[in-house]
Amino acid sequence: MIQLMDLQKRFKQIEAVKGVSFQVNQGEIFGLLGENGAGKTTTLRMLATMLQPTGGTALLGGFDIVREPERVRGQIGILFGGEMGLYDRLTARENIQYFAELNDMRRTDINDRISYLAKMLDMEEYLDRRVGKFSKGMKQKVAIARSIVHNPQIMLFDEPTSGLDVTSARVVHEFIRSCKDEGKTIILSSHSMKEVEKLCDRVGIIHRGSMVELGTIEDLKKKYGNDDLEEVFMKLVGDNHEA
Amino acid sequence: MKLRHIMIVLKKELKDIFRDKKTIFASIVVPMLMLPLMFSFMGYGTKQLEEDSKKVVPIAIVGGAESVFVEYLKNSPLFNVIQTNDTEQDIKDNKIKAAIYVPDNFDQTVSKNELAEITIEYDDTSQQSLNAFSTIRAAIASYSEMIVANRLSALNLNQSILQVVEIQERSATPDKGGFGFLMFSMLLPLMLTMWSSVSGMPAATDLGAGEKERGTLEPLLTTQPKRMSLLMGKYLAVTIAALLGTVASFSGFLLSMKLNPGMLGTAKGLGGTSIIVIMLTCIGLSLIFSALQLAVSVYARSFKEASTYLSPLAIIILMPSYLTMLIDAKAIPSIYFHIPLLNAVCIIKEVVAGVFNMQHIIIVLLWSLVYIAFSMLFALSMFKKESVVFRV
Repeated sequence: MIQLMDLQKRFKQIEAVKGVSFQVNQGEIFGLLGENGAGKTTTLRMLATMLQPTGGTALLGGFDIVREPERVRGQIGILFGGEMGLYDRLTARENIQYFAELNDMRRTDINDRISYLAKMLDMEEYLDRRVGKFSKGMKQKVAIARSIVHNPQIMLFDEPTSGLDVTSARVVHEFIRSCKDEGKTIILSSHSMKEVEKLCDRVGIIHRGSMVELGTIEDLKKKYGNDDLEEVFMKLVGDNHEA
Repeated sequence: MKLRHIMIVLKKELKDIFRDKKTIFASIVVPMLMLPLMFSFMGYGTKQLEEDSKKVVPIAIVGGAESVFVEYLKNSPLFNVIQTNDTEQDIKDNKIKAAIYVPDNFDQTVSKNELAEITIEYDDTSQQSLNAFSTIRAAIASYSEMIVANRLSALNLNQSILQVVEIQERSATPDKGGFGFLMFSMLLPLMLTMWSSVSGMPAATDLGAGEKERGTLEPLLTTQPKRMSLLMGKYLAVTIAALLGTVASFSGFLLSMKLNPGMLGTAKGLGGTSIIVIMLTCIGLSLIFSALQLAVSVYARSFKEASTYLSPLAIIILMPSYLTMLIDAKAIPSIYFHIPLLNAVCIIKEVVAGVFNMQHIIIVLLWSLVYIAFSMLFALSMFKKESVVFRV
């Protein structure tokens, strides 16, 4: 379970996240919807303990991000879009293994787990080749395997399909669904309405660092009397623009 | 901080560094080959010059009529006397290397024991012409000596009357190798300090800014280890790369010494204790500079930015080395042993010269520990700072 309690982040002059609170239950996919610069990435970075909140806190799997950051990191898996952040000079196996070792897995478990993931993601053929020359889709699979090698209970996805072609994006979507089926707690940040509608159980719309709306997609559509989530989004965000 | 985490990072970083052809080239191959190549080219150049100087020099003689002196020059195996109409143009065109202007009454002036005047025309921008100039001077000097000897014997005097003292030299350090050793003791401290300080640069750039640029730093920060462990693993990897670079440079140095014994001097009498002190100093320097370079590299947004910040560092490192190059190893001012970098050069200089001042050695080692601690804390504070790590 993930629980954000008045989470805040201020960078010098800019208040990037202005006290965000919500809860994500086990086996649930929560969509964080917002424009570029709305505060999605900053929120996720705080949950992943890369950034320290300047106010409030959050509990991930029962651990506090401020007081027990190491324990929190052991609970989470992260997948970014765009730059996959793989080491080009290492093989796919070495990339995955490095993160498994850093997450305190035992050697025999690591080997079993990598074999399992390679089979599942259909990447056995290039498992022992250096990542540098991989296609984007191949890299994406390695990044996916790396993010769940330690079998985390919580998954954080930050715009995971940005820059991917349709086929690779589908792989990622299937992966997110399989995480849900395994009972993981999931936050997915995105600016794609379609993606969010397709995958998420509930969404939070974040704008200029504040949560402006929260609920199931059906609730939101009903509340704003519009069947198009994009229209609902524009209504919320557009209003604020004028304000 | 967990040792296991540090070792995981260290192992991975070393693997990563040494799979990178660029880093291997910059930190091992270039340092190993640079000095030998430089010195063999320089050796070849000096050899060419030496050979040139042995060749017969084409010159022109203007005036002098049929004087004995002109005959002396014409008969000398050193010169090939050529007839010309325009000496200046022919020197410029490289037909002759120099021209000698001899007055027509030269023999008479000499026989009257008066001062004779000779003009040598040459091109002072050409090495060959300069060589011809000195060959001509030497020939004139030996001709003058001949005349002086004749004048003295005409007066019934022995030539030794011109010399008052004859000096005998004796080295107080006959086993040290003389001038060759002086060169060695001047160059080695300079080179060692420079190598230990700059050799970690390619690795530091890659492990900090490189990781940022490739977007691998963020996922790494979401793994369990504390930042301190991640940094320590990287830090040790950079230090090891720096030390390997130093060893590579040193082997290049030894190789060039073998190839050109005259130029780089000779290594003699470096005992076990000297080697231990030198090694400790180099390790200390590598630890200090690896931390500083890593800190700068973590701050930089990209590979290119890191290189821009780190290149001036190499120049700063060179300054104290040059400053101490000419200082006598046996009379180094005590204050120097308290100044960073300078003290490392000085302590190596001392032990190479065979001076073992325990007080100096301890001062330098203690200071090194302080610098290591400070540079490490600096690197850690950078690595923990959000505004630095997420500076994009």
